[in-house]
Amino acid sequence: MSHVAIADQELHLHHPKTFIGKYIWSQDHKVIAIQYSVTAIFVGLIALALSVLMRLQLGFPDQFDFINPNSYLQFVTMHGMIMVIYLLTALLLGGFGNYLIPLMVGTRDMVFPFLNMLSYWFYLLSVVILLASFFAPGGPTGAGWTLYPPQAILEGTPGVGSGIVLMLLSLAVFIVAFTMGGLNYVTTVLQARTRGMTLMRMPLTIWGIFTATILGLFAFPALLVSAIMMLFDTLAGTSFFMPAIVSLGEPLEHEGGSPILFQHLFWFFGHPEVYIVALPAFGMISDVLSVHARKNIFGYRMMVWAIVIIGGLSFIVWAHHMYVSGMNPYFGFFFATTTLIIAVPTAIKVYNWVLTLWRGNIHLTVPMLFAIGFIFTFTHGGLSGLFLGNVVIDLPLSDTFFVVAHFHMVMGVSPIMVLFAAIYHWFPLISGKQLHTGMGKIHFWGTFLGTYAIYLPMHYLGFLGVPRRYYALGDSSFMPDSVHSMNEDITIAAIIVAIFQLVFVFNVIWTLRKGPRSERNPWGAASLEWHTPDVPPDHGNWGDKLPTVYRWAYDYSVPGAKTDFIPQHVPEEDVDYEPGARRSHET
Amino acid sequence: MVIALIILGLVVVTVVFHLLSPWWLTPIASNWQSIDTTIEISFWVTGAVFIAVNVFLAWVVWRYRKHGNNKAHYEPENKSLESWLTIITTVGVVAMLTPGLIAWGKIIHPPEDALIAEAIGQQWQWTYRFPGADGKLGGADARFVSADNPFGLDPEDPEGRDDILVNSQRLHLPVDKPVKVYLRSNDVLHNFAVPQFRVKMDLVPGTETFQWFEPNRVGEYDILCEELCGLAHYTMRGKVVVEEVAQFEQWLAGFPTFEQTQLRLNADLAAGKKLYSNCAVCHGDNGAGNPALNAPNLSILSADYMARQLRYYRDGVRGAHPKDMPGKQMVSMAAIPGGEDSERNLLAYIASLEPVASPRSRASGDPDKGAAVFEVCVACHGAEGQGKGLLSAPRLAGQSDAYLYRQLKYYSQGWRGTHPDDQFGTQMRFMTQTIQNPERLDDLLAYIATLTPQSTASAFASVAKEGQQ
Amino acid sequence: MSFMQIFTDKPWLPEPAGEVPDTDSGRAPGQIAIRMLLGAITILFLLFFVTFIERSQFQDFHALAGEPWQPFTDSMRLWVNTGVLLLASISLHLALRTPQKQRRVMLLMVSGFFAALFVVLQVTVWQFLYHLGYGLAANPANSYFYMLTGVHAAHIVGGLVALLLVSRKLLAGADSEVALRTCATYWHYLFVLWLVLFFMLTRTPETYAKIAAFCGLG
Repeated sequence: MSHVAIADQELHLHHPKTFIGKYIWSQDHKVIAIQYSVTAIFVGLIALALSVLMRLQLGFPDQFDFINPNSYLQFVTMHGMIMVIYLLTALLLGGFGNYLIPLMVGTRDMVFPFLNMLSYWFYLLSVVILLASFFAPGGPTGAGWTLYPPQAILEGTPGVGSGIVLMLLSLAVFIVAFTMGGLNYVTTVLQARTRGMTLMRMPLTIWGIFTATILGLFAFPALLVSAIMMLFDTLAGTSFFMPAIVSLGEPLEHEGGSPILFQHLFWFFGHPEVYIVALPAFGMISDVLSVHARKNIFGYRMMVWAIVIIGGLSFIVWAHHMYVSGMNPYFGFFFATTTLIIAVPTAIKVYNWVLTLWRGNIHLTVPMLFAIGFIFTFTHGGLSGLFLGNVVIDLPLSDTFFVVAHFHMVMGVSPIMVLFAAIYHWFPLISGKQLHTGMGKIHFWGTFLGTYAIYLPMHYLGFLGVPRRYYALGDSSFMPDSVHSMNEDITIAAIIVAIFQLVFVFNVIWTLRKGPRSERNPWGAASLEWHTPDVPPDHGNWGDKLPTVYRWAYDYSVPGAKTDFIPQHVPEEDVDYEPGARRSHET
Repeated sequence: MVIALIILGLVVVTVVFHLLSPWWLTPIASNWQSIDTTIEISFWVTGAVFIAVNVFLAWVVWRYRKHGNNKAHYEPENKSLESWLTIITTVGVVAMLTPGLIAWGKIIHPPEDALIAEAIGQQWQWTYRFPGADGKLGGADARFVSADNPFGLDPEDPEGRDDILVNSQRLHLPVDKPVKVYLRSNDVLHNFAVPQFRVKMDLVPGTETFQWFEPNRVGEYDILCEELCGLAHYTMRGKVVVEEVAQFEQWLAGFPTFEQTQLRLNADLAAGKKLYSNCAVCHGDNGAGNPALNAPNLSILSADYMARQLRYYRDGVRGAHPKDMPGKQMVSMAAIPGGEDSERNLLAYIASLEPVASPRSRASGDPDKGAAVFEVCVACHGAEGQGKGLLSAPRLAGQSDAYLYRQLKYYSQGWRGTHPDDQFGTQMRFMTQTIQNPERLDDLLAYIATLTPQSTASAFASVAKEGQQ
Repeated sequence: MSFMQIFTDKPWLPEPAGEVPDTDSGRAPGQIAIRMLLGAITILFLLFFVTFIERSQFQDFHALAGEPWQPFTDSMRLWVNTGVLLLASISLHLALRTPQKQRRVMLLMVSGFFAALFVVLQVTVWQFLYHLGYGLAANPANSYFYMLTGVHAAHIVGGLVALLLVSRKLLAGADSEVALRTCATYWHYLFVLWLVLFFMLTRTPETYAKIAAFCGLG
């Protein structure tokens, strides 16, 4: 069975007529993508609010009577969990993955549209269960986003009754949702590419999403295993992770379990998860840089190899989160080495992004600003990772503010910069309107400078040894008063950053309601998604005939060509060259 | 244009911040200089990359920004450039990794002659154990933990008999001698971290972990728990005191062996009753206390708790603050028993008194709101305020609210709980911070006052019984 | 195109006029998706097994077989269940090979019946164990038995739903060849998975020690 046959078969796509059929029970990947995105951004805003509450306590301890040690830990936990899983993973793969894959590889929809729809509804269900835990007796779990047992399921930790159970259930449902979506993304990329779209002609966005999805399909089972086993431990009294324990003066029935086993399972998922977020971000930023610098991505093949190598290596570095966990100390040698090796392909990606700009024709649009900001924040976050990955440096730094600063730079700020770059970049395609540039620039500067003001000093507090997940620091012999005043300043910066996000929300709403229609392809992008018959693309994407691809997605500023970009679906003989400049196959 | 300048500016700001930061590694107090060296090497390598990449980025953005008719260069890849960058990066990585792995090799191999110690973590306090004359720690497990054996030592293991139990959050160590600290937890994960020593390691229930270091600077350092261990994680503090060997040995000699703690001596209630007549003046014949005389209700307290308080009064741990007037009074009274035996008799007698609940003396406060404030007290003092012997948490239900009011105020003002030897002072001081204001304090006391009913009679009995032992 | 060729292709070179590279992998989407899904499920169970083998080396682990009085020293019940699941697999395989629609639907129903019967029989095994005093939380070996067979049964139930959907499609006359083939792949996989589970859960302590030593988990 060939792809052509599939493509032609799919002309009888299910075209619903009613509003509900079109926008609620939709099987159109674009509608599903928007559903995913709106839900993810909604929970993301909740997580943002939680981070502000948490920062209020750290900056101004004991000034707010609605924050006690219990609720503080709940804010910390839910902020982390929502941001990592329910915002970043869902928005990058469920949102952008869904929207861009079929358009960028030139197909009409995902190969299993019904499954795709189901994926969103399961995701929504997981979000509902998650949010329900806020209203459960005892509130949501406050075990930290890592949910380490035994503490996660014992008294003394907030949300121990229903909070943790709802959290684990929600994760299990999320994993089901992800698997349904993930099978779709992988199969669509492997099977439904249009004529001429070889793997090496795919935009890096697709490479990133594709690799991340495979990572997700093979890493999320580890989280599911740990969630199921912990559910048994807490609901049925089994002892998978629970040794003999005297909990707050009460001896428990458990015996013989191993808490470290959970940590291995968790991080076997948790580390690839970092790359599930990072790889799509790497891909999208590559495309944004290339389009707005009017230059092909530098070292495309190296970029693809780096994505694949990073994806592979990400499965053998997990225990670098566990250097001080009490695991076999000899593991330290292996995991420190693999961790620092992964820095090499990652560094190459950074070099190639900068080299893409080098000798380019840089249009300083809003997406480009976010992309440049990303290079800066990612470089910073990546380099601080070299400290933590090197096992001996992790000893003084683990569980301090340094760790918090590091992973927020590399996995918070950086992917968010990419997400904003991507939203500003693809908004005209999705909505037919271009976000307001002035507001976009205000949003960029507030976010970029504000987040750096938050996290740069935090690294140094970490060097001093300020511990993370502390409700209050109190007095100590090694923390000067300046630590407390810095904490205040960081909180103020965090509030300012949060306010700047409202500019973005306003910009989106204003643009959708009042913004002028944009051009079809305002940035002059060569990749396929901008060349649908209608913008925004209609259901089925390509009208009567699927496009045929004749080149890679990066033919910008081709020597001798009259335009500064050649779309992917334009055959070589149709390209308008200066006299005598036509390229021959041999060059 | 602006962005190029800003990127350049941020590089400058970062470097200047790094050089001028008032926050930096604490002055090292152990042999792990090699960790600091690795950090330094990493800073040189990563700093160079950070500056090079971002300055180049700023220059590129400025130089190749869109202006006039410039056109981008067309260059799909440049193999030799990419290869060179890969090689240079690899060299940098090796330069950081090598000293790290060498140091790690030392960190995981403690010397044979190291002094042995054990740190025990429990929600949310530290205690310690040293081997006795045999130089070996006896077996221990959470399954052995009981009111008589809070350290959970294996009673059958002869090697444990002479182990020295340090029931204090202060750990003394001799200077310039390598120490291997075994780490054990009876409940959840904890982490033993002293910033000045650089190394840290988790305590994992069900198994024993270790770390080793050689303290090389005399002084007093904070011990922090750095693995989230529940709501009062942040209060789990201890101190390590590094001192000369002679002082250390003197300190250690002041603690009992496991065998000594297991001696069960009988108490003479009649003699205790006689001694109690001194106390009855203020605390009343039935031990119910008297708010007018600032005397708390003793009838509900356990003998262990009272013994600790008497010791604190005598040692200047409690009642030493000039503003603590009732405490001052108790300091002189605490000498009355005048000996271990008579104190045991006295406390056994008080514990045998029928528990009586004190009446309310304060009118204000909303118990419903107080329940929310009480949320953080539950873990140790129990949902019914019944207290928990194993956690050394006294009973609150039935206690005089005037007394509780005064003590919570003293804690929050630092009149109680600031002495370094007060095992629970830090924790209680942190916890009273969460009350935040007088209204919430009133609400809290109003709530605790609702916890007196008979439903907790059995708890009364068990606490009282515990005290009699 | 070989693997190496795919990754070393220089995509920026213009291609000769009129040539469009072939991008067909020659596989049906269902077949690709099911392989990915089975990969994920394999990892799921592999991780369960790793924790199981690790946990089996703890003092408090009492294997379910070995001594004469232990429930699976004689595992006849489980062999019967294995037979039932094998019948489910065989009937689905026959359904795939039958061109006739009515027979096909009937064989699918038979297959579904045996699969459902298997789940019911597994539940009776749980009851059998429970009445012998082998409660869920009494010992990690018991916990693993209930949990792993439970997770396996949940996958069977998922397969039953898929089977029903395929049957409906078949009855409606739509082209269901690929869907049926996908279903069969999944079905056979679950049978093999059950054999592995069966083997893993009913070994003696000595065998577990050997496996653990072999995997370096001992």
